[in-house]
Amino acid sequence: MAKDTRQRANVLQGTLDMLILRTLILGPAHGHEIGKYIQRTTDDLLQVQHGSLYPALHRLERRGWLTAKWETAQDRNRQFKYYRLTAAGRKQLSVEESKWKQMARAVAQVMWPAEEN
Amino acid sequence: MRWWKKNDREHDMEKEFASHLELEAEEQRAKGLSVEEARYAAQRAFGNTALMKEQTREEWGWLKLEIALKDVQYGIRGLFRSPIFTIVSVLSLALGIGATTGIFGTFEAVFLNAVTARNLGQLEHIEPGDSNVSYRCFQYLSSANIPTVEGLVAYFESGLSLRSGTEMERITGDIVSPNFFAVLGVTPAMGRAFSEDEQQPGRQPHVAIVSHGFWQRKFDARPDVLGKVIELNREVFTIVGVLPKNYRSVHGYGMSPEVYVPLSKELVGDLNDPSLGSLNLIARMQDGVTFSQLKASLGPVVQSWRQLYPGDGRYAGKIDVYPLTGIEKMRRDGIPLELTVFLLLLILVAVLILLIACANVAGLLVARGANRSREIAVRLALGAPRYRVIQQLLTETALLAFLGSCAGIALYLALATAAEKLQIRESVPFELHLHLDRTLLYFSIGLVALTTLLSGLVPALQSSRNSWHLRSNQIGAETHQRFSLRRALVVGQFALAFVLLVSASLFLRGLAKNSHADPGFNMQHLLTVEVTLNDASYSAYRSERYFERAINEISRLQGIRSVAGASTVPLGIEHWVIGSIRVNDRNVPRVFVNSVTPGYFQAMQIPLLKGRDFQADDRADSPPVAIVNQTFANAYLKGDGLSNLVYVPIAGTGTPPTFLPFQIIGIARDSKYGSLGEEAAPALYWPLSQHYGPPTLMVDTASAPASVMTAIRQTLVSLEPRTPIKIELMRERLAGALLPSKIASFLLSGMGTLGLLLATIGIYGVVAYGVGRRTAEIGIRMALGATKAHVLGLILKDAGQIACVGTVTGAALASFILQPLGKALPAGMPVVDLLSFVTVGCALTFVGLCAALFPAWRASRIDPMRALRTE
Repeated sequence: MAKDTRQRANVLQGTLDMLILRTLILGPAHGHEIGKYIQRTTDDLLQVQHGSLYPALHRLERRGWLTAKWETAQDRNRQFKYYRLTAAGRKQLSVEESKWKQMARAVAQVMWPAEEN
Repeated sequence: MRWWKKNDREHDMEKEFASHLELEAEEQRAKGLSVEEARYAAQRAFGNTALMKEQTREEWGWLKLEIALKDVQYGIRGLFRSPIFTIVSVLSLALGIGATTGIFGTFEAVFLNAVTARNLGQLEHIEPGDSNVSYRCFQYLSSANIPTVEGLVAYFESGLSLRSGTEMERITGDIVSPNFFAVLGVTPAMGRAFSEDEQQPGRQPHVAIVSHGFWQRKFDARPDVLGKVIELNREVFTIVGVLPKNYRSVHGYGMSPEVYVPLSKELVGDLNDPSLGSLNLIARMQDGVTFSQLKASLGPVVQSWRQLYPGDGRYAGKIDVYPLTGIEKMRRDGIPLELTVFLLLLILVAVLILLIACANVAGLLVARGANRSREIAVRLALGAPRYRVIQQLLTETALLAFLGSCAGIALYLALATAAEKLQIRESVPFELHLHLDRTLLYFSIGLVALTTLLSGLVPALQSSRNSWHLRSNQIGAETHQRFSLRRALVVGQFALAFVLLVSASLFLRGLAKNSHADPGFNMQHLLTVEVTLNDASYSAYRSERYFERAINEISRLQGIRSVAGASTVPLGIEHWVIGSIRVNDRNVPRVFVNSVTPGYFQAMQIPLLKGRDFQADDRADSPPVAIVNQTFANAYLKGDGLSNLVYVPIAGTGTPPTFLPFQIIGIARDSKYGSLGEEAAPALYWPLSQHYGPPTLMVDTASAPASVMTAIRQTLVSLEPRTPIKIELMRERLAGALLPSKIASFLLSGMGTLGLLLATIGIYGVVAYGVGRRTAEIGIRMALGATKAHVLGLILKDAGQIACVGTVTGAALASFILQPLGKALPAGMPVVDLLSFVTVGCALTFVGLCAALFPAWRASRIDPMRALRTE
């Protein structure tokens, strides 16, 4: 079991960071919201174990791409830890995005060479 | 963030996770799940909380250090939880490391690298055709500017009379060329080395540099010692320096002369007398010069010296060069093989103890690890990564190795301090300065670390190899394992303990045989009297007359039966042995020689079997005569032995030397000469008058030797006041000579006991552990009708097997390892001695069974029902 989880997390790691950054471009959000958002927008295709968001969030925070703060939610009287994108985080997102695009193009070229022409 | 804010962060994470789970659960409830179900669903969606926490913490950085600290904390707690395990392991390791480094340190201090000097490798002893050179020759070589030589020094050891108050004391000093310390590269701890203008021999005022020990002994380590004067051989010397505390003299073997003075006429007589001088030479080679280059470059210089003084036959021999330390020097100094072998044996023993200690700790660790396999399996099942478990176990064992090493070093330091304080005042003061041998220390610590780490890893590897370990812990799992690592370790321990005990017993028996041996001469009522006349003011002639008178006067005292002089005291530290004596066209390879006065055989109570004693008219100018012992006569003489001629080479007459014929006039009974343990050896006596050297007086007293000591002293003082006199009982001298062996046997038996103890602990641990593992099996056996006796037998059989296999392995090992020791044993003592092998074997097996008895007894008391319930 332990082995399984780690493997999945590893595969997702790079992508997960990008997805989180992308999610936060819409505005601050807490962990649960981020998880739900990713799940919803990918039509539940990316089954992220919610727990594995947190190591990623803390990593991104340590690198200075996110800031975190406990704030009271607008709709209910409760505190959540909200993550915000920093300027460095935005820059990083564009870096990751272009990397991802390159990668996607490369994969596409291999998979469907005819269509590309 | 800083690591000390970790608790805040931890709290923060908990809160964050909790809020996530709560939110998720709320959503699930909204979908219509029950409270309980919703919570489980949230948990499922979240994943392994503990693992996520761990991974999140990893992202914080600082984590490696935190984990390490935590592991150390956990490890310390674990060690505290099982104090006996910890104490036994740490003590084993400490004894192993301490004993090995301490004993090797002693060996090193005495034999291997025992000289304090800068770049010791550049220094070589030089013998230009003779082992001792004259001052004139030294000067010639010094001024010859040999291109390979950076500096040349001369020194010789000499007894000096030190005046303390009205008494004269005999001390040992080195008379050295003034550049001695400069060339050696030794700086005194206080004051200065001899200066340039003290290069002129005989310059006034005389200066001296004293040893640290002398400074403490005579000046109570007072800081104002520089400039103080001492009186040596009736000359006044100003102290200009004190040597460092741990200075090891060029003589090696821990010999520490107390004063160093420059060569002067007052101390050695006329420096230009070509026949005079017994200087030893040491050369410092220029950088990059090799041993053979040095040797080659000496040739022409010595050749031209020979041409300059063709009449001086002393330098006719081969030019010889050898290092200041090492085997070659030991061989030349005639270090008895026994001593070397003994020290090698001690090192062997120390290494054995280290190995046993390691095996012991390994056994304990493996057993402990096996007990923890359940804990480890649980931790793995809970999602702990394998590397974390291994890391944690390694930390724990590293902690153990660290504690053991620290304790070992502490033990070593204690030993070294004790050794420093040890001052054996033999004819030359003997001081030990132990240096911590880094290589050896690293080796022992490395071995300890390796053993502990490897054996600490075993449980981790075992449990991670088999992730079903939880289930494998079933009834009887242990019984199928006939040969396990643990058993192998205990077998090894037994084998090592066997070797240890056999070698110790061998040495002890050898010693017992030695100390009960009959020396072959009168021991009870014999006194030795050493009088040290001032070399410079007493010529050989005057010295001879003095001793003649002394013997005369003493023999007239009351309570004295007879008095004689001998240049060598038998069984002393110095032996006089010469080779290449020829008799009846045969070579006698090794003969003990002694110059004695008439009456020696009477005083020593050695009967003359044939012929006559020396007489007063055997003078220097009468035909040379000799008395030999029985062994000599039986092996080499023809007919009745008397009137045979022996041919003795005359020293310094070139190659081949001139032989001088001696007529044999008597045959004396055999006695011991070099050591009590020696085999019957050929010996030869000649009259002191024909071979003069200052004698020691041997006094045979009527009854109580102590009562006449004062009378003898008074007589001698009246003959020559202010002369150092040393009167000793022969008995006590011998006791002193046996002291090293006594210390050695004490050490050996102590270490033997230690090894045995360690091995016992080892077997106890393994058997007790095995019983613990087999509790359920034993329960079943008993439930099915096995008797207590049966169970007892079962366990004891197991232990007996281990002990037997270990003993047999040990016997094979011992007979192989101990072979080289054979030479050092007293005659007629075989190395593989059935009696000692059987005794040690039985003792070991017995001890093994005893160690197993308690666990076995406990096993036989197992309540079957309870035993089964434990599973």
